[in-house]
Amino acid sequence: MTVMPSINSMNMMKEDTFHKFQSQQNEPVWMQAHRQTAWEAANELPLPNLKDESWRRTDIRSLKLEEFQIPGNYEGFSKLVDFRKLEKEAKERFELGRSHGIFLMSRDSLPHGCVGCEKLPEGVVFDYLENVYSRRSELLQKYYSKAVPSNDSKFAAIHYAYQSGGVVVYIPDNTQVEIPLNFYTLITQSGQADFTHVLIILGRMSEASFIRRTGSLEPETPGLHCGVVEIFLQEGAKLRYVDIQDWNQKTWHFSTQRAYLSKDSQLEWIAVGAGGKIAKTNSNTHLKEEGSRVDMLGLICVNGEQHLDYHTLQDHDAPNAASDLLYNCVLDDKARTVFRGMIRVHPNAQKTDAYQKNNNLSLNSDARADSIPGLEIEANDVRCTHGSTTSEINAEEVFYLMSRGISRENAENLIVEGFFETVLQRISSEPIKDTLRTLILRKLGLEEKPL
Amino acid sequence: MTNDVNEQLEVIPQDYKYGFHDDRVNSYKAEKGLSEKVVNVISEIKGEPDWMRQFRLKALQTFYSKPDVTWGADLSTLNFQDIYYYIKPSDRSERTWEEVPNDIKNTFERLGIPEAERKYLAGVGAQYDSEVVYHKLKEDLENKGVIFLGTDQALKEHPDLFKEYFGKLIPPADNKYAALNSAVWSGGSFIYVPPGVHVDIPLQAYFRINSERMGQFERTLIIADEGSFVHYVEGCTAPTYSSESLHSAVVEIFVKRGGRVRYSTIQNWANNVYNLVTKRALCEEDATMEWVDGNLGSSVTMKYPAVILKGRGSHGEVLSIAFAGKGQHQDTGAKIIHVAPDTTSRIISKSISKDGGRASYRGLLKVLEGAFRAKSNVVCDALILDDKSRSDTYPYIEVNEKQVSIGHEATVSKINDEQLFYLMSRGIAEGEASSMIVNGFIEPLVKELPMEYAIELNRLIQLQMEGSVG
Repeated sequence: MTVMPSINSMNMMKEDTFHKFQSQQNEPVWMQAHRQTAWEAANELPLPNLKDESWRRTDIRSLKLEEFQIPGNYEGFSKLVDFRKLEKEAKERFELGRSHGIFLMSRDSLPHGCVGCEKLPEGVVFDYLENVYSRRSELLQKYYSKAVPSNDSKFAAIHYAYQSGGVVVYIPDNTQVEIPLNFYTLITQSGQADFTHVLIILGRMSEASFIRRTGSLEPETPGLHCGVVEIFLQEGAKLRYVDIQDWNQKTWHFSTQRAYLSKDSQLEWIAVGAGGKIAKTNSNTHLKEEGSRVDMLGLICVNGEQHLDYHTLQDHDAPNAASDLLYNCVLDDKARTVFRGMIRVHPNAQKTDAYQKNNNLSLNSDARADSIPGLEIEANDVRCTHGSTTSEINAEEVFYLMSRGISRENAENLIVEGFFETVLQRISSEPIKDTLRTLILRKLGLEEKPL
Repeated sequence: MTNDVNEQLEVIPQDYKYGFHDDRVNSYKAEKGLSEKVVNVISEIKGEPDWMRQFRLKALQTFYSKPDVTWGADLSTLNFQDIYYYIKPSDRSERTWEEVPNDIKNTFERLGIPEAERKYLAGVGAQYDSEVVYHKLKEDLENKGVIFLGTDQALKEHPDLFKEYFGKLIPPADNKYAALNSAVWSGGSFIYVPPGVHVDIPLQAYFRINSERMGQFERTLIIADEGSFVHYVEGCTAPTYSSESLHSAVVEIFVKRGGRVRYSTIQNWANNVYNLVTKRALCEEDATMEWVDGNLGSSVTMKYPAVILKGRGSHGEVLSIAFAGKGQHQDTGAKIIHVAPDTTSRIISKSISKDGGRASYRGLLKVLEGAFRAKSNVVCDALILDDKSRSDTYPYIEVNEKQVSIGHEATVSKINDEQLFYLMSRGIAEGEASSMIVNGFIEPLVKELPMEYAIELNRLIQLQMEGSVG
């Protein structure tokens, strides 16, 4: 059996590849035009390098974009794989049977389609972007690419040029969706590039929980994720957004994530960083109107030679808004994390209450944690505080636990768990808390077990 | 001449009492702008050995080849060709106050230098534009082998000691302004304290820019030998001219085993001086370095005193205070590198911004692999007194070792309403109450300064605070 030479084997930065990809998309003119603009930007913008201030600590010189395959038709591929086996594995990996919620797999992941979508209230949209081009054209044109423009960066531009398989969530005014919406992306092939887009719009006084989770089918296959997340909360809306980055350790991850908050809206934004080879995540919250609030929580756990770089921004552009960030990182082996956070308070944002804290727990002398918590304050009637700590496991705490008859190993494990627990405790949903705790423990090699 | 000074005093802003200048005829003034020729002329006038001339010329090339600094403060209005790189006010450095030319003496009398010397200080150096005009060290210290000279003089009198340390901690290629200083440096202080000698009362240097469009590039080198102690204090002022001046110093400090150096600065340049300074100290085993850095003047200051903790058990400390008023950007901070095990450091930064000023804390805390049990704590507090002003905090923390304890905290706020209310309920007017709170805010730093500087700093803050309501 031979695999047809499809566009998949072509260099993604070549004109031909893009045009062929574009011609295969069945999409409205405005989307075609947007892709074209993005493609031009992708060619004009240089790849970031170590001289760029925001890339000084993340070296991507070994990234070869041409080695990755753009999304396409999987005709050749589908003949080779055992669908049922794949489906089973995907279900196990994401605990589809165990978790509570409505599930959608990104289009290039298998199996795809929505599980439980029939349970959604009237008017709610939870679907692939390309499925709603015509049905929700007005909505998409109003919000798509408005938080992250295509010329934002090289990676955003590439994303918009090849964007496919992404998801849109729209909750109409005054609608509460209690059951969490899950969107999973699985990289199934070696060298697969993923360009899934996430667009979330919550209408006035609406509520929802959205869990975005990524993974790789095999532990050793290289992958590339080049993604964008856009979140818009209208007046009084409440969103819990969980972003679980759990690719294998051979996958490059570049993600630009931005949220816009209107009056009195609330966002609980939980970022989990477990996977990835080299990952760069930019998470910005723009508090555009009075009374809005964001909680940004980070649980980052790295080992091996992983390198995870998080840039966060709490941008206060209106009075009386609040933001509170807590990112805790555990590092083992030769892993490296970079946390660069910024609280920016514009002159009009009086009565701002902003907090930012990054804690790093290092388990190995070869690990390296960089922490750059920043403040730029242009209003005077504010309370802005940030803090950062970096340390090893506290010997006194270990001694205390051991004096209670707990072995050294267990004592140390308990302390690491406790370090994450301070973040988990701030999550307002019990099932999500449990899911994340399980995930972190598994990553630490500490399956839940009695002491 | 005194009349001129008085006339000049009439027109300067009331809140800057050092804004006068005197109209003296300089004994030499190099042509404006930077060139190889200017560098050669400086070296020639000073009668320097050839290695120093080569060092300068090489540094000039380094300066040309380095890109402009694009981070931090805005330096786009700084024109390197519109500056005098060398002005020699007097033919030699004097050792008795009476010998200093009258007009220069007047300037320093106004600044209170000889008075300060009589009262508190073990030694005094005074630099006027490019050259050190006066240097004096108490006799008993001289007998103990303490060296306190102008840097140019030290190059002549102690060439071997000089060459061993000069440019070793801050090589010209370190940054663009260090390269500039290395090319055109002139003046500054050279201090050597022999093993075990404690210099109990501070040594002082006073830096004065007098000429318009002047660049002052002093170069200070301090070597504290094993188990010794010295406290060095520097003050800086300049007249208020309409055009900009540039001050770009390089300060290198070597603290040997068990030694301790404290370096205090009260920078009060007029608010059209660019102040771009590189300061660094190297601590050997069990040594201690303390920077006390007060920045009140200048239009733009970029200064991040550094300590490299190279020896086991060494300790570094930076206490920084910045006051950014109208049109000022104080981009200040600290840099600590933990190289050896059991090293400790502390950074305390306090900043106040007012009337549209901008105060930025920029710091680097780095723990290299192998610096076990390194401990560091950084605390930055900022007060913003009105809605036109701005405060930034940019701390960089890089930790490459697990056995460490690193903490950083920063807070930005306005004057606390409750504290204000409390004081006012005791019958204190709002302005005075604000001023008291600000004084309390900087208290931890002020108490580290020698008495006369503490009084001066409090007075300066008082002046800056006048008419302001939190």
